Amino acid sequence: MTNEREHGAADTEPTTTASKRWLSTPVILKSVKRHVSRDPGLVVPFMVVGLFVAFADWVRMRDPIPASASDGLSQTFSVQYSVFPMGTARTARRVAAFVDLRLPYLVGAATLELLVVVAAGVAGWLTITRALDVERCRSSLARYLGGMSAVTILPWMLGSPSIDVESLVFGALLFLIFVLVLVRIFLVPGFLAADNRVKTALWKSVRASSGIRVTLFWLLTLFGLASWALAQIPVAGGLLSTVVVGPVHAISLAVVVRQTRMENAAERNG
Amino acid sequence: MVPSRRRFLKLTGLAATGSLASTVAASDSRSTSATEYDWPMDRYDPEGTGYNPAASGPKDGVKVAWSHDSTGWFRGTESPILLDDTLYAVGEGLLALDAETGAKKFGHPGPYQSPPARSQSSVYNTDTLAVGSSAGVFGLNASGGFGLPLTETQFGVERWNQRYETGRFFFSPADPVAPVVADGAIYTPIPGENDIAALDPDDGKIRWRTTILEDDTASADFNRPAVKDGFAYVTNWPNGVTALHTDSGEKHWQRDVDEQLLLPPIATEAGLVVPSRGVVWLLDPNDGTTLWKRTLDANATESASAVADGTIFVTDERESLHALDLETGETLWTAPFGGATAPVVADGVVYAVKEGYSLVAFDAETGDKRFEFQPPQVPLSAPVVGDGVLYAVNRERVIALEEAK
Repeated sequence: MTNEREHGAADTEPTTTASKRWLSTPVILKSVKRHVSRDPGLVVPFMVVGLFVAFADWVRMRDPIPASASDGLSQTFSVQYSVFPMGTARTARRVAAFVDLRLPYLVGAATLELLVVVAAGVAGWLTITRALDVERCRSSLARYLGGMSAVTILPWMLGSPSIDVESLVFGALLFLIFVLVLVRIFLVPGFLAADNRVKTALWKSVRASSGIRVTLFWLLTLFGLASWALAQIPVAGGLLSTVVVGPVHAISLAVVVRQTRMENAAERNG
Repeated sequence: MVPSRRRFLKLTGLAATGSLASTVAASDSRSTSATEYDWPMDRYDPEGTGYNPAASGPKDGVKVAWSHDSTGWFRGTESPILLDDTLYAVGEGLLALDAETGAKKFGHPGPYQSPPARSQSSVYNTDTLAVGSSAGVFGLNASGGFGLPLTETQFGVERWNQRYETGRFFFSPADPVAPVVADGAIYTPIPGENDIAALDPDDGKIRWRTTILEDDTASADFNRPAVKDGFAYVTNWPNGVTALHTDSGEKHWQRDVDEQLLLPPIATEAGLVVPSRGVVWLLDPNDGTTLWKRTLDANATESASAVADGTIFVTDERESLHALDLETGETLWTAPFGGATAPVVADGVVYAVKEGYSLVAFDAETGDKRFEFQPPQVPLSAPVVGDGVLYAVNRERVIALEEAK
């Protein structure tokens, strides 16, 4: 099984002798397409999560606890990029709405929010490890979920940071720095799923993104835009956003991480 | 290997169960109970009478019992509300003070503009305050959530907001109308639209939304609704009076009057009191027919009226405050009083703030002037009456006035 996948991948992806500079956005997306054609099971985890996200949207709209449209859905244009693969739900629940809730409502609502994140995390981890064909272990799952919690739950609880910038130049500079940071940490989920420690995953992501920053920029922009655009679709937006963007994002991570691993192995072998 | 699929399904099932339980859980218990001195919304009650039969205020003169002026961002002009031992004032944010001492309980800056209205919630342990702004209605935690250490910031104040997509403002955003809470719903006109809506106090969702002026492309200028016995009554400029079923929003009746309607109606046992620029009507609440009509030499455009013990207290905004018999519309007394006001009544005393600078107290029986009080700052809001104390917002401060000894 492993060998078949490795051989199959070699037909469609840059070989060990090729630099990852060949990893342009179309190449990665074509590779994702071939992965899915060869192994349709790769989309199953996010399909399940998509249904769960749609269910969560349905519950949020009907239960008596305050909910609102997700950030960005009401805007003319938005890039809903998440470092860890997941879609954009149509509804969201602000943390302030949990304060002073009666206990049954608090437990129910908190469980729902937590499980949406955990389910997306598990789905991302399953998809990446399956596409990478690496052994699954608890440690990598724990690190993956830990990392995902840090970048999704903490901002949710603390509120998204916002800065009022009056200078256009300074604003553009801040935006550039923000995008550069996102590009540099783009591959962190992939390395975490490949059982790297957080510090190592971060370092490897920074190193591996060298030379393909533009590619990664276009990828994150594409995922963010697609996630936002699909979520706009009434009723099924959360489902579609998760089912489409989640697997593509996760497999893209696997494609780049695999290429990096192959290059590193080639370097080691001289 | 991790048994992730089984665990995932198990956790999913738990979430589904928990969430559905919160969806269907019926809770008969409500949040905090009211006390007899509570002044839970603008104009005291859903009917809009401005009269609390249990309250009493100063009668022969006032002195400042306390003054809170230490909250830098606070700038208010609207009446406060009183819930148990807490006074809530709105002015570029929500300010909660100890009604006894004026000590600050919490403050939360925000775009809030109208007087709040207390609504009890079936999902929260604490009340929700519905507050209007030109952008919509906000649901705020009456307990203030909790303060973040080492900061002045409150967390968990804003539970929900029902923002409206409005685009019909011709000059500037419409002034928000104070929400009215009755029978487990929040009733509010939608600024910039021709609609009245009923909101769920738990999550702010719209239960119904009814267009009052179907053919008018310009936004209607609504006044505070009055709610009584399953009907919401609303007047709007220029001439419309409408009665809506509170359970469905369906129109019960609608009529025009031949005067400009810029003042809120009051729902009473005798009928619906509809003050206009120069005329006061009493309408049959069942079909809107006129029971009596009283013409005054008036130009009332910014005031509100009060009803207490069978008497209507209404200003002509020229030179007099009138007491009219609720059953007949006949004048009981007329007292010198120039300017706009929104009088309130308690224990036989009418408290009316003249043009936002002077509080005047009248004997409700005779119209005799009992005292006048002018604060150093303007404007002074209409007061609310508690247990022997008047509370008012006075620009950058909130004050309590007690009997001068």
